[in-house]
Amino acid sequence: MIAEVPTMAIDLVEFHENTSMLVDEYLAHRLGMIPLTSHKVDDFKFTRDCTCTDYCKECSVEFNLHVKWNEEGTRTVYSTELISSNKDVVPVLDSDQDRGIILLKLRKGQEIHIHCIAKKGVAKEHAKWSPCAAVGFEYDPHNNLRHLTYWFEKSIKDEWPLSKNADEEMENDPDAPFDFTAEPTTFYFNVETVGSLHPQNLVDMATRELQGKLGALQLALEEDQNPVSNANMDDGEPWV
Amino acid sequence: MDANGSYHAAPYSTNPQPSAQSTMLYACLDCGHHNSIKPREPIRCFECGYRILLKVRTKRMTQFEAR
Repeated sequence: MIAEVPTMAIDLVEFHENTSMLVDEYLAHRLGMIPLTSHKVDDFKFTRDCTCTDYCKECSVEFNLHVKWNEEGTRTVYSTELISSNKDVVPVLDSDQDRGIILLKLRKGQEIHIHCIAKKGVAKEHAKWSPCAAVGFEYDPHNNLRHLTYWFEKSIKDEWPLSKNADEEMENDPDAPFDFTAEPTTFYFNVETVGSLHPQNLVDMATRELQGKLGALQLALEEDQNPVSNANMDDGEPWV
Repeated sequence: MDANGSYHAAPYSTNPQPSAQSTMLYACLDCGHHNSIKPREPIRCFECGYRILLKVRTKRMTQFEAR
């Protein structure tokens, strides 16, 4: 979920004009970090798999930003002002009132004119592609299995508050004999995203990713165990 | 922007600038006058005599990786 579910993120930034007080590199890095809505990410190809030589609309989305400030005071530029070439890939917003992330501020006479190229990627390459803000994991909230030994002063119950997941399970009778062979059966996951994907979708996509990997492993194992099935394939041995 | 009005300028595709491109211009920090100074010449503004000159930003598009 953290490293291998693909999302869209700005990867290249072309500066036509930048007279703001932020240097190009700093702004480019800032732009890369903006979460983009990625529910249609499956419609895009990875740029390395695409037939185009550079980038095209099948593997990228373009953004334009051109702001020139000629009045007194400070002009704040928000991520919502990036004009996307694809309505499905836009900067993530909290609500309709939300103006997005502050990119930079302009003073009188300053100008920013940039062209960004967002590409599909995975967080193994750069963390900006991670759809995941946090993943929590827990099992046995009542510590029935005694996998934990809590440190305490007077009372475990008062000093170690139970998590929300404790409502899902019953606590074992403390006087009952302890079952040494018991194994954990229920696991709780807590998924939080940066907004580029819905948490539910993220879990689905992560499961699909895992399935694909297991499928590839299974195929490789089958091939390894039944060399006859691929006898038509020349392994490079001259006597075959 | 290219002829079609789109921003599909190929990254890094700009040809190396011809070396005959007029001598480098440096802006005076004090008066803003653009001076063209040659090697071994004193670093001094022709207009106001100020001794701090700034290299001006390129007019060409610059591209960065956002990472």
